[in-house]
Amino acid sequence: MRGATMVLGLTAGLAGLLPCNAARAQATARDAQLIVRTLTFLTEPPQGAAVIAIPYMPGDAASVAAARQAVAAFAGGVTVGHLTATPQLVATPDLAKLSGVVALFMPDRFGGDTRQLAAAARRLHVPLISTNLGCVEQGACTVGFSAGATVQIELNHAACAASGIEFIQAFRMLVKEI
Amino acid sequence: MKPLRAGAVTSAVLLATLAAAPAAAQTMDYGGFEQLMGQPVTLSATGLPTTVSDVPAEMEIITADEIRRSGATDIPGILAHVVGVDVQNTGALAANVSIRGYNQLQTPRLLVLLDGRQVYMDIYGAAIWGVIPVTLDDIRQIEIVKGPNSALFGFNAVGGVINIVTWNPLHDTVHVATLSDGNGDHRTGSGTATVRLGDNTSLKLAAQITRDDDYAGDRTSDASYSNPHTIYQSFIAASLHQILFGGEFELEATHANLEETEFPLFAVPQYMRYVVDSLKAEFTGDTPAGMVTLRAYRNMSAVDTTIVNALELDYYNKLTVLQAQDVVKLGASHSIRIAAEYRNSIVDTTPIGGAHVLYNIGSLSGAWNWHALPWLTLTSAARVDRLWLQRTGLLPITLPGGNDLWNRVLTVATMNFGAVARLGPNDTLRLTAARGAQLPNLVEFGALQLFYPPFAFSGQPFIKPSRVDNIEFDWDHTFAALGTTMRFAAFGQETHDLPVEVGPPTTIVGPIHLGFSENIGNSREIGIELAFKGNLPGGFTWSLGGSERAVHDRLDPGDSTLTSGVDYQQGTPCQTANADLGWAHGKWEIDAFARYQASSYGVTGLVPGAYVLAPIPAYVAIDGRIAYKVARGITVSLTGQNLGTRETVQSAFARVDRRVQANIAVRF
Repeated sequence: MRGATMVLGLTAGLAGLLPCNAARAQATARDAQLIVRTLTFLTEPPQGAAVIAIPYMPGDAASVAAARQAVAAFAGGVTVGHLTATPQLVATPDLAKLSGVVALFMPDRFGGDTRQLAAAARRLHVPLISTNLGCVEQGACTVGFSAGATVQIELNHAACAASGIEFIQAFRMLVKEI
Repeated sequence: MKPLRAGAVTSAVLLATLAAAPAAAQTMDYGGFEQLMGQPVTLSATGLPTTVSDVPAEMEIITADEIRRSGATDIPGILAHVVGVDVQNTGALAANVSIRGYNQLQTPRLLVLLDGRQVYMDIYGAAIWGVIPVTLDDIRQIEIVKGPNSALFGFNAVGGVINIVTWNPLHDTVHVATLSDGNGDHRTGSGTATVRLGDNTSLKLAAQITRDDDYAGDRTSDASYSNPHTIYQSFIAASLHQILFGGEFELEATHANLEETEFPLFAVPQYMRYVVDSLKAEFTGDTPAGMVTLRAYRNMSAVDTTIVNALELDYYNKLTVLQAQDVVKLGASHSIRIAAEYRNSIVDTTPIGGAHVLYNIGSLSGAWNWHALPWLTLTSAARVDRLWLQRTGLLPITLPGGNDLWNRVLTVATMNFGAVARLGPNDTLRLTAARGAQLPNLVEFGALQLFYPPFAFSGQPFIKPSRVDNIEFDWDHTFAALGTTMRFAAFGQETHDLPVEVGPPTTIVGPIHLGFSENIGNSREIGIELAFKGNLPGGFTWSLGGSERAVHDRLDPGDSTLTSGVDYQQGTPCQTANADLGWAHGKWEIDAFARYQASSYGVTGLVPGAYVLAPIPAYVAIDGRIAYKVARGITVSLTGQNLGTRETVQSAFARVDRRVQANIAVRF
């Protein structure tokens, strides 16, 4: 009993030190680099000029501002290896007819229903990427990362399967897979 | 196994794998992973791509940028800046490198790899750093793993591992030419170039030529050492990389020459000549069956010197290695690595020739990586090596018995366990336990057959592998607000069956006094290491760290420093410290490094039974570099080693000179 108490106490103590998954406010140029770099680790990586959709909720000023900030983070285009990605704003009502993109990036203050984005990602067979690790853990987002002092990347296995996409094994081994 | 058969097996294995590899497979891109994670990534420890903080062992990674700014002229000079790495310079290009003490001449406790290929010599089980065919500009990163890691890396990884990773011309573009001129008649020219031969094929060429005078200051009574010899070093390395069947196929050939003073026998300095050639073929692929690595290589090492009584000591060793590894991710939480290795090593006996000593080794290893909890990863690894020893040819009259005595089979099991807990973004704890093994080297197994009437010295087949048990606790902490990281390690280890290459001539057969290689006892060490590293506004970088350790030898009755030439207790400095400060702004880079080592002793002597301990006073060695970019791609620099004093005693042998070089590097 005393041993169990000690284990519980230790676990509680450690839990207090665990990282919280709170989302950050604005996308940065480093985030844009990470998004594009992540795409190069798909088993069938996009190459050449490609578009990344950035959804927003029309009428939600915070959502629009966050999406515009994300577009600004790409500074017109980010090139990694053989891939050059440019951002494209997409209003949520237009998601149903969206096509020709290689990924969706959900800004932290998207403010809408992430299930709607996940459905679009599944239909387009592209990853839904976020800087909110909670979105990945809930199964809506495919890949998430937090780019603090150390980068944490999470990958949702079921979300990948649902979208019909696959990352190379080396990437899956490097990141935390859920 | 004969070379032809080994080659045939290699080809068959490679072809079979290539045929099975799918077109969609991709290759390992270190640069891509490093950019993604914001820190260096290693493949070497578990076969899994892992950031340095998540490795289930105490690992340091020195990046290409840190190498460039180190001011060092060779790899030991770079390693000397790392807390817990002991570097004992015995010549301008000669150094003994160990991890966490136990340093000795031609230390055999270190596994040194160059892109996965063993580059320490099987003859001595030691790295001769000057014949490792890599230019400093060709190095992407140097991975330093502390403590025994035989189950993860292979035997000899008892003190630690130095894994040198070079640029991959399929992913990296490198064009560098460097010229250097300095005191001690030092001149070096080196070049590294990658060439793209289409979308899927690249070539890399690297070459270096060096001329140097060895250190002038003499600490020994050996006349041949009183006058500094000239050091000549040259090497060339070429590798072809091709995307083939969806994976990466690499062919590499190297050739290296070195003439310098080393210590082949009895802790006596001798002018040595080395010629080392290697051939390697490797396939890596991310396949449906996992991340597959197949590697085959052959190292051919010739060592030539003249020892007592004008006897020619000529070793020629052929090492053939075949390795296969598969790393598979099972579900979201488990990864498994399965690996097999075959190696054949054969050497001519010397100075009395006419015979060969050889061994075949078969190894199986496995590692299991389990993300048990979101914040906890457990890694368990085990490896079994089975060694078949043989001897063929004439047996000198000085040796009793027959070749049958060498028909021995040794089985060695090793293990590694590591628990890594990430307690938030700023804290990582590691608890590791390990058993490592150091197999006897070829000299200890009988490559040496020396008759110096009335004495005879030889290796022998009954020497046992040395075993090292280690337990360790590490804590990494990031002071995010200060931009500073801290690494702390506390460890305890015990080495069983310490080997010596040549024991005292205490076996008397008729008029001959025989000395054999032997195991002489155990040794225990406890220690701590603490290191801080950070950045400051204005382009400053800094680090500060040190180690404290205590070694206690327990030699067998009848064995002593006098007879065996071993004294790790007094040979391991109790304290070491490292500090560096760097500044970069615009076209300027200035870096200074200081290394402190407490007083210790080094073993020297002429024959077993007459070894003596020479005191090595505490010292501080200061290295530095000042560089200025004169134009795009062109950098001029002044580098220096041991700048604090004209001469420093760092070993029982030569005094280390102050050396200064003027360099120009052109990157295009």
